[in-house]
Amino acid sequence: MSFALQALTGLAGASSLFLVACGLSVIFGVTRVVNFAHGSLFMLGAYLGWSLLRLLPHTPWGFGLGVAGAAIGVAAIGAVLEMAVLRRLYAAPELLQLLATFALVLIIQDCVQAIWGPAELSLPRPPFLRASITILGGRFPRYDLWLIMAGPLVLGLLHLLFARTRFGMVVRAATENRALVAAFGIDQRRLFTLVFSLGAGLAGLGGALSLPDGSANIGLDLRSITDAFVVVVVGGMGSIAGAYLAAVLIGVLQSLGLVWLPQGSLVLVFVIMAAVLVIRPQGLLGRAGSETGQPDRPTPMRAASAGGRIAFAVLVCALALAGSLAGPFWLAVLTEAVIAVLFAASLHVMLGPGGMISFGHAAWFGIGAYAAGLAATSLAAPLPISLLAAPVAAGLIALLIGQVVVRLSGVALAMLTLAFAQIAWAVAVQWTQLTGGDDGILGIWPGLTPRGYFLLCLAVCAIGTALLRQTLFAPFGLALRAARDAPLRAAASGLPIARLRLAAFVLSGTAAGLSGGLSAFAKGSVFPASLAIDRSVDALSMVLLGGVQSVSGPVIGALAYTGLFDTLLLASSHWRLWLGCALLALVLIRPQGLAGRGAGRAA
Amino acid sequence: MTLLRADDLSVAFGAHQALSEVSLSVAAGEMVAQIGPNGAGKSTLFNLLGGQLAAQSGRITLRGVTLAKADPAAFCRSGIGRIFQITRCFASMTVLACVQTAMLAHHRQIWRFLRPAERAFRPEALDVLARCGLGDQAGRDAASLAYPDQKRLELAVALASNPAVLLLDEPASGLAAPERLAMMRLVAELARQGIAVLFSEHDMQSVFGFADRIIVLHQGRVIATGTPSDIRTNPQVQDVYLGGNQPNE
Ligand SMILES: Nc1ncnc2c1ncn2[C@@H]1O[C@H](COP(=O)(O)OP(=O)(O)OP(=O)(O)O)[C@@H](O)[C@H]1O
Ligand SMILES: [Mg+2]
Repeated sequence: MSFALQALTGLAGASSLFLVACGLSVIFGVTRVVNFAHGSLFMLGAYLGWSLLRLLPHTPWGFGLGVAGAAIGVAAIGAVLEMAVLRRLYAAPELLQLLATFALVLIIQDCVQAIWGPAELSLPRPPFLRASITILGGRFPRYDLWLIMAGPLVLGLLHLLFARTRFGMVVRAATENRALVAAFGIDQRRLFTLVFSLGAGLAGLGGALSLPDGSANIGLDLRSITDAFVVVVVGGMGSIAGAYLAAVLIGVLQSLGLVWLPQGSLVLVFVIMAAVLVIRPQGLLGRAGSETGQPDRPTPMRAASAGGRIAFAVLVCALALAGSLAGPFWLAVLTEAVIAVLFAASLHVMLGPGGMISFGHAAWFGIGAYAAGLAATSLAAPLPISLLAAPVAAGLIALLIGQVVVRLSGVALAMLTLAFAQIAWAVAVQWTQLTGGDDGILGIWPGLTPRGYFLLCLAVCAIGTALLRQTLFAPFGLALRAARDAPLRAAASGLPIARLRLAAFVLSGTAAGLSGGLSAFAKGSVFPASLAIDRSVDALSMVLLGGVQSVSGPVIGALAYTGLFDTLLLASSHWRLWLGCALLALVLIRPQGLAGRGAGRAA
Repeated sequence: MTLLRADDLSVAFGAHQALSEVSLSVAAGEMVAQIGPNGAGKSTLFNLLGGQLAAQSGRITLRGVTLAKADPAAFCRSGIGRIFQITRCFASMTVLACVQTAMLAHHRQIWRFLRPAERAFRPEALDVLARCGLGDQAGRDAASLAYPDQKRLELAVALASNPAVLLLDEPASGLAAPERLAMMRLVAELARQGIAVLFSEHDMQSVFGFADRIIVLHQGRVIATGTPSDIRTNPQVQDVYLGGNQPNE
């Protein structure tokens, strides 16, 4: 296929990217909420579109009607979600906003599965969708030409909406200065609902339009939200023209990359994103400072008292005892729980004292798991060496990726970590020679009895967690917290902010890698799921469940969460739904976590 | 002996020329005041001198050595300490730990990961706190301090780096008259010990009562500089500033 045709395919891809991203950008611009559930709205658009288009006549008019119907349907769902959930979150710290919207992702996923079933649904393609035309000496699908035009068309319509209508003026005013809106006596609640519903409708439109080239399936939500995050961060948060520019850049390069370096096309996306962000942290057309939402207000943090240390020691002894008595099932659960404690503690370093939200912490866990698994199987290394390979590999990659990540802050940083984790996940799936792809790596055994291995995990995780806690009250930990609490003040006192954050990032990645390595031997296998987004959210949920600002938070959170999780998994096939509801309840009712003190409130 | 010198500093924010060719010098033991109406560029000048902001042209030297790249940590290490107009402290720490952290940074000991920092530079930090009148507050959470004490704490944190030059952006703003006086006395005492002090202040009693020299900024330009009595009688200054803003407002 010629270069030009490949570029055209890229432009069609760019339109799809833009449609997902622009709604996210509009919503963020006005409400300052990063809507993690935006991909779920896209997915709903695809499913609704599928249902409507099957009923409607298979003609261009029927198609247009169905697509419009899907967009309107999703806009209505968006309005309901805004009124029921989002509205309560506008004043909450951005971390809780992200978590609450992620809870919506889980809930919507289960609902979609319940309504439409788990199978992939594709549209029968009537002749008008299959037609292709001859341009530039090659055949090009006519539907893709329509798609290419849809991007600029929507961009133009949005421009007209924002430049020419009263609603648009109010939205622009709200994007620039939120206090202004209140001052003009505009009903902020209604404005936010309308804006959210507009953004949702755009996502729904994108979902329905993606049907002829793809299908409606359960994985759409996370795939499209990652794409949208990349586009929005590269384009500049809140800038619609920036989103289109970024979509074209990424769409075309991705499409050309497929031809030039088929293996590396995903890495290419990350490299583009990193390059743009290093030069312009605010994105192509974003304005400086626009990338942060509500900062988390730091609260006092005190070293564990003597009582705390004793409680920790008692807990470790109790776990050792429980492990000695437990049957095989509970022994596996306990092993998973102690590994989860180290994983959560590693995220806590970054999230709490480091002040960096990571939505891709599974990347480090998974890299550690793969490193240990490969060392044990391909290199036939002994257990200690394989376990050592895990933190070393994760730490080195964190050192590399961290160079870009620590330059950002707030939501943009969270999105970058997520994008990196998604790319690591894709590499694990695609690089079959190394990772075995979806078949994973099997036969990773520690050469110990399950009980012996549990005790090893308990020892490593207890020591690792204790050391991480220790760091937080060592000079490094103080300096790191100073850099988070008041970066200007800290820099004026001579603290190297970027290097401190990088060190925390690497420390956090290294410890997460170790927990991943331990888990590889506990399970006997490694699959791409170990670095999937669900795993990242597990980590976040554990830390938040315990409380970000409390010392014992991650320990309590991890144990409670693993307990909750195994109970849910045993009790119900709808665990996503229940977990989502539990997270929502947590965010709305007890935002400071189980172990946190004080009366921080979300609304 | 001149410690800090600035020559022809200029900076613009987009089309807005915030500072044009501002020059000044501060000697050891001297208290120099910057005055000027709101938006005159006082904080911007502090940000240039503290390394928070890069000048578009001009030069900053400390003890004759040029500070070429705007880098707050490097400026701090060469001996420039500052406090901000909007008070900032490390909200997750105790009062004592705030000062200890600054001392750890000053002594390049932040890359220690295991030994608890609790006892690091404890006597020295307590001493600085006592000098700033916070001796009995050391164990409290920094975020829970009353506003005047937060200002004192920020000064203590700045002093923890043992600076030769102190940049104080409105050290006494928001304080009631007796506290304002106490704060200015504290600053004067620091100058007497040999620190070069550049401060800005809207309260004219503090300015004329404590400054050795005064620099008047207006729309980003220095319109007058001299001793308090020179400035008091300068007609241009009367016009733009003192006229509408009686001393002891
Ligand atoms: N980061 C910035 N971007 C754009 N304009 C700025 C920025 N910082 C300051 N300015 C503008 O530069 C001018 C000088 O501001 P500056 O804060 O230095 O004034 P000031 O003399 O400290 O005033 P005040 O007495 O109110 O503290 C003002 O007009 C301000 O709006
Ligand atoms: Mg100022």
